[in-house]
Amino acid sequence: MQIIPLDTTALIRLNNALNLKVSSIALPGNNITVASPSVTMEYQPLLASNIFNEYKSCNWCYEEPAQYYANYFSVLLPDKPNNASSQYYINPLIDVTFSLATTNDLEMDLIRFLRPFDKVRQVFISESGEIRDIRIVLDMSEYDIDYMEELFNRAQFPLQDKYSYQSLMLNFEFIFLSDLIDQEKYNYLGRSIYTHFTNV
Amino acid sequence: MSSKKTHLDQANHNEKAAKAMIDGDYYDWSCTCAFYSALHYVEARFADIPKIQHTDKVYEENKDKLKGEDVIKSVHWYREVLIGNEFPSIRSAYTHLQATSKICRYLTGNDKSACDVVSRDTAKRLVNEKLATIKEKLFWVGGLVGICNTPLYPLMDPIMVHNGERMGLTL
Repeated sequence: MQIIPLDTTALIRLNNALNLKVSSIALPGNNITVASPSVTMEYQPLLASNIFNEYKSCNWCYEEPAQYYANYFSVLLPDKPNNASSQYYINPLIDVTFSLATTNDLEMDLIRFLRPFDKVRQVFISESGEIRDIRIVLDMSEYDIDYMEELFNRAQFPLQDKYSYQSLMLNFEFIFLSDLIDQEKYNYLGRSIYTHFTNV
Repeated sequence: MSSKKTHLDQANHNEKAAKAMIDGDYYDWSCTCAFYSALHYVEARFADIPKIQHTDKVYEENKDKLKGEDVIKSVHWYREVLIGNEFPSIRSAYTHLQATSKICRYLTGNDKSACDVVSRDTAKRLVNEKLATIKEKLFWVGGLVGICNTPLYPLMDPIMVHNGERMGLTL
């Protein structure tokens, strides 16, 4: 296993986000392995989603995203018996693994631009010719004009403008839900590229 | 294609409907009326722009270049693109109205009625602020367009042309 340590800033960010001791992050092939003495099985889904959220936001990952694509996460539990074989391959969310393995520039940009918006729960993308239909699921009980204004001005419009130069037309739609969208029920919306798990 | 005057008349009509319903039980429809008012105000201004004249026309002319085969997209979508190009200062307000109108009509992915998602205060802000902003910025020389049918473009365009260059002018 090739161990590639995170740089100091990224490791601090990750530790802060996870609120636990992450000792190392390894990139064996296309997988990310996190070693932590304090992680529990129950905690693993949260760990994975937090790593995912940090991973997709840190500059360290963005500089050369192709090099750091992940197919899945795994967690090492050094304090467990038979620790050599206790590498738990967690696949808590198909979205996470799928999107990281196939992310393209637009998807990375969507994730980056939408990340500051804590009410964004999921993003679906579908393609038709040179149009990308982007449906954003918002955890918002009421239509919040001010929040939407920020979302339009800081995410939707900059992205539309950026990609119009590449002859890609981005068509945004918004869906308001108080709970995470039922992925199977709503799979007609397109491929989910982003799930934000602040409430896991 | 409808004339500029017809679009203006319809825009005024829809705006009155939006205001008439805003204090009643059907205030959610105010959002849709406000959106269709904005749409007709925009089309009235497009009529002043020779390269556009009308969204339907320019959409038909360009859709094959813009999209893959067998893709028929809403003219609404293309109108948003044109607004972004021609009237960027109303882009946010127009997108607000369009998004809210769609939420009120289709309840996409939602298990709530329109009035549960969009409050009356929100509807009032959309009608009284967003629609008003669109009108003001489209017709910023004081409503002359409604009185005088002579195209005043580019004088009336919020994006002024100066020495052949487009200048963003935020009003």
